[in-house]
Amino acid sequence: MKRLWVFLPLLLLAACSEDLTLPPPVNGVFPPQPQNFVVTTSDDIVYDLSWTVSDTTVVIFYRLYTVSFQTGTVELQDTTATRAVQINTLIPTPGLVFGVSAVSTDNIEGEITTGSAP
Amino acid sequence: MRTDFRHTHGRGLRIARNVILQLVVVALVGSMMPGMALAKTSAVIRSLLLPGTGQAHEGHYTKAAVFSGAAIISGAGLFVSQVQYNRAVDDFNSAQDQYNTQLADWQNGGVLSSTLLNTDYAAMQNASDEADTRLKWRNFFLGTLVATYTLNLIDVLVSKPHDPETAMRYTVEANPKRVLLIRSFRF
Repeated sequence: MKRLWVFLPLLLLAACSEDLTLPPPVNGVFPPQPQNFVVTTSDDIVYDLSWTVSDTTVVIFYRLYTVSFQTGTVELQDTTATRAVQINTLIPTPGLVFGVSAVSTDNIEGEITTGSAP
Repeated sequence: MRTDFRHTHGRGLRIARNVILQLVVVALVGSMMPGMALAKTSAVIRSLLLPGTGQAHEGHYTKAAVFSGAAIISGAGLFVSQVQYNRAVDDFNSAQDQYNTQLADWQNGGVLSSTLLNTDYAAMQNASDEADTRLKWRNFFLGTLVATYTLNLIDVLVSKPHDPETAMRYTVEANPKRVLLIRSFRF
């Protein structure tokens, strides 16, 4: 039977596995995703953005982004506490895609809603 | 990180040293056991090193091919599945690091992006599922390797060396109705 001890390292290997336990979900207030996101412009320089949220009491501010679908990047442009802003790009920038997200009272940012001028 | 490496390195050396010691003990015990010829001890040691080689040493080439083939396939499967398991664990740890970094920033007053958080969580979940699958395969191949080694050792211990005189012989059976020439094989 002593010969079978040769297998001991192999049996130890079988018991050797990493602990891959998933962490518990984050406990906090998640903000609602902005709805009815409307982007308008008359000259491709000044853009007017407006949106609504289902519950404004849990939102402390909003984050505004520009989205590039070609490079897949989302760049933070500004933050605001209101639900309507005007953005001046200074130079004509046609086809600009904007994104807006809400940040909750627990400092948790929700999903981004995207939109562009028609 | 350096400590982990040293631990792994030291454990590997200890395992290798134990295996060598056990081989020496088997050789000594085997050579001292009454009735166990030196040829049998040699076959046992060969089978310990690579299943099937002991059988080949005793002339059982068919069994040698079966045992060595099973050991090689199991060993290769064990190696590949272990590498894939390690890769999945690395993916999980990488996603977990990013997840924990975001949580740490959040606890220090930063804004926690639920989009990025969900992406990292999904990556962790995928890597965890992948690791579970690879772990099952690794343990399967480990089981087949252990079974191959065990059967191979039992076989080499109980089997007798191949005798060409008795390996293939012809016998004749005769009765009033017919005469049969029987060719028998032993392997």
